[in-house]
Amino acid sequence: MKLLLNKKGSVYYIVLLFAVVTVISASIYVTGQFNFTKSFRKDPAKLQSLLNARTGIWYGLALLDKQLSNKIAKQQEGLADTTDKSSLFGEDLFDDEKPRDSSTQDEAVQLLGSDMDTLEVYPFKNDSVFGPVNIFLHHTGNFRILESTSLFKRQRRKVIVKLGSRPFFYPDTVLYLGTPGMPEGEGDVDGRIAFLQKSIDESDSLQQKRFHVDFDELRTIVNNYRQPLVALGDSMELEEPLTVQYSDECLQIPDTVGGALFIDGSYRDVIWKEKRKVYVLEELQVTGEVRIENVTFVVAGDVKILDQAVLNSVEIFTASRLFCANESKVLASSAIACGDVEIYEEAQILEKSVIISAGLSGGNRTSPKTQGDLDEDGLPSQEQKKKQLDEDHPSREQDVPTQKKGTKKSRKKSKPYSLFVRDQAIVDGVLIELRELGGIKTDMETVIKGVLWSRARVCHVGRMAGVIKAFVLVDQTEPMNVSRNYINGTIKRLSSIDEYFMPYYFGKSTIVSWQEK
Amino acid sequence: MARKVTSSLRNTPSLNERGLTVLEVVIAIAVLTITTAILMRFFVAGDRLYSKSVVVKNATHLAQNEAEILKVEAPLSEEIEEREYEKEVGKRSYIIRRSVVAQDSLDSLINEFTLREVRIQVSDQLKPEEPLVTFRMLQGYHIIQ
Repeated sequence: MKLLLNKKGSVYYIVLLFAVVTVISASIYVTGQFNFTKSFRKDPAKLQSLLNARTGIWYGLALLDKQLSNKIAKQQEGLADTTDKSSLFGEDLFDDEKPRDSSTQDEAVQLLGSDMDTLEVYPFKNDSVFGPVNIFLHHTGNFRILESTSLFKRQRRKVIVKLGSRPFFYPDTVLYLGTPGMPEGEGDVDGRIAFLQKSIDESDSLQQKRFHVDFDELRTIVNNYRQPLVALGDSMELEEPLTVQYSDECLQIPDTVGGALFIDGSYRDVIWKEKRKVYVLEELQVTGEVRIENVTFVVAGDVKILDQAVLNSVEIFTASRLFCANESKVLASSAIACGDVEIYEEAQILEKSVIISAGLSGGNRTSPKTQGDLDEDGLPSQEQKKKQLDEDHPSREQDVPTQKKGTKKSRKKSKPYSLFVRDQAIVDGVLIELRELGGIKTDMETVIKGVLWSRARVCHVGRMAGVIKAFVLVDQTEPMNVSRNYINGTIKRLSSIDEYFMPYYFGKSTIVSWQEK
Repeated sequence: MARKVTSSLRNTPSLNERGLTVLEVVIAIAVLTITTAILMRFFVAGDRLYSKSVVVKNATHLAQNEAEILKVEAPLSEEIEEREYEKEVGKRSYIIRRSVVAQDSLDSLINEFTLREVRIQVSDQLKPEEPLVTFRMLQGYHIIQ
């Protein structure tokens, strides 16, 4: 420095030095500020993108609601000559022969026809300022997933919503019955009792939406599951049963198992956590200490969940029957069984699981190859339906589906129930029985929290907190007597009843869960 | 003599080793001043950028807060209400406006009118007519009944 100061013109170097330092400082400062505030400046675009994605969800919901209204309106038009009783007892399951309105059908195909569809959102779709939103609708058993993706100024946001249906129940009402008359019997009812109107010819469209069960949609679901099973069953040779005893082996299970699948945790714990769908062309049996999460099973034969098996967040479809026994647990899951459902011994259905006995097949089928008596929808053929109906209910020809005492002898093999909760089983969830003239039976030592929903009868002998919806409550000693309401067990109010969700085809679509990414 | 001359020459700085002249110093100071003045504008711009970004960020957060309130309230409400209120963040006051935009095309598309276009604007209290941020969305209401 001293040298510099002593030389002529050395001040220019100093000036240059200071100038460079200043420029660098300024550049660093400005760049730093720019980078530091970069995220701040992205915030509005991120938020708008999120709002666009939410917009897609609301728009999709509105379209689904509109579709439901249209369906109800169409059904009302076709109900002019339908009796009150038949509508309550689900004669609508047998309306296949009715010609469908082509415009409605086209609309349905356009909106919801395939497994995943794109709905266009107006007015955002072609709005250059606000960017496009794409909506997808996935069908996942009893629930639907509505997914909305938005791209706005390079900010991609996604909202994923699980759709179900909220129970229409009021907090103080515990029984919704189709048959008038206070329940007789030694049972205890702590709450209000509501008697459903026999006709759905109501002026209140909201009421209709609450009580509407979309059996077409149920058929579609069953069909979507059954078609691949039938196709695979036709194309594949029957294989030896596949037994899995190690956790590692679970990951090697093929997507389609050509025979029975046994997951056996009798010797060591088996843990299987995987997001995938597995088709099983024979029965599925889970025994021992097995823990399964997030797997979807589509099974042609029986499903047996035994021993200490724990199934968490799984989806099950079986064309046959479903058994939960021993100390098995089913948590936060969803199941559709075409045949009977039996929950017995110390089995537990927990965390608001939803289990349905669809009653569409008569049950006990072990292979899709043996299902030739089903129609194209994977449902019983018309003749079989009539036969089944005649067997189940000889007095069907009359307008009132009450069972006369004298007809009992003429029955061949009548099954008053198709969904059983037995022994010391515990249920915290929703049990639905949709079989024509079927029912739900609970034993004395069972404990149930949630909803029992039956198209026909419920024989309740156990203890329950929640709601029973049925056409009639029957006595356990006289299950075919549907002329009066009779309760053996106890039922009390459940304040958290609105936390339980029904499948989406039970009335108006409701948001079960909401996730933003 | 020669020694004296040599000595005298040695003590006299050469042309390249003379000190700073006043002129040089003045020019140097002037150049530095000008450079600094120019670069100061960058600093000021950086500061403004930061301040403005913070204001936009705060406004966005307020709008998001309003959007979240709407998301929770609207499905339970019979109608989406318009509202306007003030909120103070730091030393600055903001005005948050929620308004429902008439959307005839929606009415014809959705037959039960459970959908509204909503606009959320946040502006500085000092300049209420110039929104800092504006957001648009469709919001469902009266969904849970």
